[in-house]
Amino acid sequence: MNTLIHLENIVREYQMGEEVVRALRGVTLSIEPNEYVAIMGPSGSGKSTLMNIIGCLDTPTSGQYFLEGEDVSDLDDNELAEIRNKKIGFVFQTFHLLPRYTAVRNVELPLIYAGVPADERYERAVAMLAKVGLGDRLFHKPNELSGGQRQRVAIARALINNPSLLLADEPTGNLDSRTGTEILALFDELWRQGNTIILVTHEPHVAQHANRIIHILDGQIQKEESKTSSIPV
Amino acid sequence: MMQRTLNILAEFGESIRIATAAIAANRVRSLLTTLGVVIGVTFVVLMGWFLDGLDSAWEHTISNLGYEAIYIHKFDWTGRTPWREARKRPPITIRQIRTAMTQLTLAERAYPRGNAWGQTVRSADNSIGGIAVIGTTSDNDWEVANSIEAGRFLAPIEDLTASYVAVLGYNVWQELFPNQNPLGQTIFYRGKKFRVIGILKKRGTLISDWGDNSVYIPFRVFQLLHSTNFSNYTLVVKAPSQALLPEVTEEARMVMRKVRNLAPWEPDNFSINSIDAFEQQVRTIRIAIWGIGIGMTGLSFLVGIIGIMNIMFVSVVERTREIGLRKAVGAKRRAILLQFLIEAALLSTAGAVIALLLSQGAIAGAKFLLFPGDLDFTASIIPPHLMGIALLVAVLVGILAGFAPALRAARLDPVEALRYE
Repeated sequence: MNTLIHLENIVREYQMGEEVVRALRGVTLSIEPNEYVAIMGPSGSGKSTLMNIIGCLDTPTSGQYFLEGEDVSDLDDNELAEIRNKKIGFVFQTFHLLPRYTAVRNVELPLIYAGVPADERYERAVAMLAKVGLGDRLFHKPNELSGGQRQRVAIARALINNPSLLLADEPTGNLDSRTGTEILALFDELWRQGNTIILVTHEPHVAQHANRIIHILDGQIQKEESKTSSIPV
Repeated sequence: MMQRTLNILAEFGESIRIATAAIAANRVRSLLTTLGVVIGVTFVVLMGWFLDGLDSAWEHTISNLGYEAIYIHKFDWTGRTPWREARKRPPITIRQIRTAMTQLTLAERAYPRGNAWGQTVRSADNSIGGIAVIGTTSDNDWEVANSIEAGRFLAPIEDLTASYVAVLGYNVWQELFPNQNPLGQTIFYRGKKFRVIGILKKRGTLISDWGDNSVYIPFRVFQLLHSTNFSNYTLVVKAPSQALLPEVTEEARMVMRKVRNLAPWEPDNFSINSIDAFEQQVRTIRIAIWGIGIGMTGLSFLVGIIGIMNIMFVSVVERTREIGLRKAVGAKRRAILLQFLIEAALLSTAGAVIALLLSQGAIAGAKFLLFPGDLDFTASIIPPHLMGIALLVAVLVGILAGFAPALRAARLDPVEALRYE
């Protein structure tokens, strides 16, 4: 009953001109709280579509999606926005920070749409930036930060509203390997603190950090690997 | 409910911050975009400012003439009776006026007046042309009761004895006696010497300044100075109150018809002029200004709306990824819509503020540089209600212009928007 995510035979089709493209062809999947899951697959496999649906950015053509027991497969735009705001934290490959905003303001963003008063927003954003190791970069704008620091700001933003789920799409894709390792270490740490993390990646060494790896191919789950514990502590 | 209010407040504050940042980031572009609004608001403000002035000038004129008086004259002052036709009317003679005066029973007062236009009067050192010399009696004092600068108006005895005394309008004494006290001085008119017994305050405006370019002399003197076929005489009839004016007017009409021997089937061969007639003229000016103004304003607002709409569409495209991100972290359609509407409204309001500054500059320039003194009937600062209207109109224009782009932004699919390059 306390399953975090339950996907039931999810199908997602796109109309591309005359053709119907079936990006997902019946995916059934459950994820429990505090799991650390990697979704792997080559480009075009449907892993991005799956991530969009899990992240409530998109809705399935058919099938059902229960997030914390609530059916979210048929919600409208505004209801989905509210779910995303409260339950999902996104981390993107390209960071998606607002260039004119300082780190604090970027992190505050989800709280604005949650209606949190300004002073509380600020305090929480400062605390969260300190938590991801950017306590001394509060008022820097994205172009004054390194790639790794930018991704930390994005992670702080993802965590700011205490989401049930952290959804990271190729979070190390735009980083050099050393910085990438640091970011992955941060994810490991967040998982140990009790967060549920889903990583979407095509790099096996990134997926190795998870304790469950789901391989997607041609819109279906090809295979799953489980590990008793995640790597290196 | 509480939470919803908080949400909207937070979104509103955020929207204003985004909008100011976005406008500040593209200053030149924003400025050019608002050009239409700037021109439109400038028109509205200047038009309103002038009409406001016109209204107060009009009130001023009324205080000069008064609602209780009628002016029976050969010509219709507003041209309702065509001039060609009125010209054929027999002149109103002094004899007719005197007879009529004895027969009027309802009027508070009735007295004759002669107007000679385009006259020249001189002092020892100066002269002024193009003025009106008005021959009238002491009964005319009510018209200038509030306008005596110094001295006094004509006295009854001065008319009876045909004294050579004069009361000078503002421009006349300013011109003839620039640095002296005019009272007791001598002016020359038609070869005769007149003693100045009174001077008047400035009463006129750009629209009608004849009051300032006139000289009052006793009616009998006026009569002596003009030939017997001078025909520009007026019978002024004043009612005890405005309410009684229709009855007084009707009696005056009957008396005049009798005095001028009109048969019952013949139309009036004189005109009864009243303040209403002027009022219509002012109304015509107002309508003309509004007509031109509204046309110009409408056009510039249309340009303004198109300009802002265009730039907002550009802005939405430029910020597609930002919109995607905002939606991903929980911005609802309403929040995005609000963001772009506020940006458009702020852009437009910025234009209005520029326009207000421009208008204020134009007003100061017109009043003090181009027509010093002539625009005294207008305010020197934009009236607050006009500022309010200008800002309100600007906000409306912004919302109107921003609506379609904002709606497009609000409806963007977050997945597509995040992926946008």
